[in-house]
Amino acid sequence: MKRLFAVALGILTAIGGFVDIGDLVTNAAVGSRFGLSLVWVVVVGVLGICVFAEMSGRVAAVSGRATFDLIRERLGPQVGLAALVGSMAVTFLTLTAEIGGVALALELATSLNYLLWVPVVGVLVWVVLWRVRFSLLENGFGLAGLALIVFAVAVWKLGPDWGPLVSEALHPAVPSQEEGSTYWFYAVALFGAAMTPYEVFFFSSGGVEEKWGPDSLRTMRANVFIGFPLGGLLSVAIAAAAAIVLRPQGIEVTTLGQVALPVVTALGTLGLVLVLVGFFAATFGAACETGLSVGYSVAQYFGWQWGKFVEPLRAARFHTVVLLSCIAGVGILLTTVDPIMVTEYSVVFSALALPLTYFPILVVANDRTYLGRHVNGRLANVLGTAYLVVVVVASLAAVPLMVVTGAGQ
Amino acid sequence: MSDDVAPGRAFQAGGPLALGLRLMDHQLLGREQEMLGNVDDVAMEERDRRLVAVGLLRGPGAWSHRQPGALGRWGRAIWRRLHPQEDPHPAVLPLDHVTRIDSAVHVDPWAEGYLSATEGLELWLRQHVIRQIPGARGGEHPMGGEPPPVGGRDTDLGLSVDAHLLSSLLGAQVLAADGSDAGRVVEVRAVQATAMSSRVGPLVVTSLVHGRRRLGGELGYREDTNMGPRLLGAALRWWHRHAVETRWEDVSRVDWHTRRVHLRHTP
Repeated sequence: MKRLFAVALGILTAIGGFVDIGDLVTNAAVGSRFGLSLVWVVVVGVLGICVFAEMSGRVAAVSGRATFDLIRERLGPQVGLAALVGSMAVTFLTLTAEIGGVALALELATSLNYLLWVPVVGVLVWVVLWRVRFSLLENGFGLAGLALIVFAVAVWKLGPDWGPLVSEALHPAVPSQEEGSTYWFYAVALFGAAMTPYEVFFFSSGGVEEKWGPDSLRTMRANVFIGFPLGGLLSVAIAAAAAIVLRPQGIEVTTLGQVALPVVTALGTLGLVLVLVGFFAATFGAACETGLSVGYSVAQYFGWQWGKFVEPLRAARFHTVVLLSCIAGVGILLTTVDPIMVTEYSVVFSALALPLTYFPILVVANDRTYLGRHVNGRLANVLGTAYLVVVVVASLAAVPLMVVTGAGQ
Repeated sequence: MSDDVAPGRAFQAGGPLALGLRLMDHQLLGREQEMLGNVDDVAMEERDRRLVAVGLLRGPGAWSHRQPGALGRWGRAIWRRLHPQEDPHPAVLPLDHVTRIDSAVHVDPWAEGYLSATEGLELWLRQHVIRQIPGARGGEHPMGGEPPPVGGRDTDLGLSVDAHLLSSLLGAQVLAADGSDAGRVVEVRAVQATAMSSRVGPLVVTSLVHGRRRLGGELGYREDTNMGPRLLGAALRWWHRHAVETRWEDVSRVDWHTRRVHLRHTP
């Protein structure tokens, strides 16, 4: 019974914790412009993150090595440093976007300008990372994030004409009023949002934090293969809601309020309350995850003691990095840069940083001295190799597409 | 845990160890999995015609040595400026203090104390930043408080003048007896000087793997020819198809200054 509860909790947390500011904004933006014609990218991205999260979780559970350990030891100190700088920049940008997202959610709830909330949120995120136990942090925000199911309820309540929607999803094509390059730019952005590198840093390091062993593999796989796809379904619901409500009115998503609009239209005040709770939990939880991930990746590259499973004084460098990133994230937001824009850039740059993160995971997941009989099976290797090609293509295409389309304008 | 469940060790007592793949850049761990830095380099000595890996280097001094150009120079300059000693040298942890090598490098209690007491940045941040924040717990833990003074510090453990670095050998140019180019060193293999299972001890170099291409040499596909994914393994083996392994007896000398390895024969 206790074990069943742990599995259920893990799955629910994985669903609620799957969506972050990048998924919220990108899915709503895509839904409002392209309808469901890019849903296939979400499916591809979610399967990809499942494949690699499972591998990184397995390596962490069996060998105790988290993802950035693998990057450093297989790519060496020079390429490893390039990977560190790249993925840290992206993760830090994401942290900034998440803090901005929490502040925007609070602005929607209180009508106080988000800039007033930014320092408060920054301090709150740091206090949580400093004091709150890892499991509480992960489970608390993950469960509260389930409030985003309200998007699925809204889609059902809006009672759309399902025929065209489903047909659009199953027969993807570039909408007539959009250009091909813009379509592919958003495809790369959606892919980057689904596969963003911090997810595997956090997932594998979290496994070490929670002292996974080989006997945790089944629970871990249940979280990944049930929780992540259901979380991905929330992403699709966000896109569908935007496609139903925003697209006919020609509204392009530039604020978090517009992301929430379909829910408010369908469910009124109750919907608004739930969607705000969901926004807050999803972005706050992701802010904690990204804040920790910045610390994890630097500490693992240099071999420093890291983690919330030891007291802060035993991991002084790790906690200093976390503290500095919270301060710097707040600093960037206080320049009044638009958090939604930061989000859009962070998902595109995520795509750029993917290969150096996922290649070492695939290699080490095949290393018998690490994993013994838990090395990759044929399916994991076929999917892993195929995804490696996809992430390289997405990575190469990201910047040219961004330049050609003026970041999707 | 039965043996088939337990992940294998990187090497068994007396067996060969690929220094680049299995030792370099790996996590150093204490008895209770305390993370004590990464292996930033390996110190080697030439002892009567044999090349022996004798110790591990950890810290910014060794790390910056492996970074190219200005980054390496700056890293080193900053480390020297901030180091309490006038003319600091990276300390060498003798391999006698390494008890086991698997996915990490495990060290004995003495080494644990030594490594944790010489983490300058950690100690400074602990005292001046983290301890000042309310709720900073962990000071009573041996790894969270003031470190005990380390006996025989640095002077005994400094890199000796006739010591060399594994990072200088990896990537060094290999020249055949007739002076023709035989590629660059991709991997260095070694065995324990004395086969024992309780600790690792000095490792005697048995062979060098060298070839035209360095990229992708440290991934492990040469070690385990069955390692998946098959496509990637095949591609990497094709990429390194000209790489050859030369026994150490066939190495005539190593010019450490110009980073050249001279062979006795022409492969």
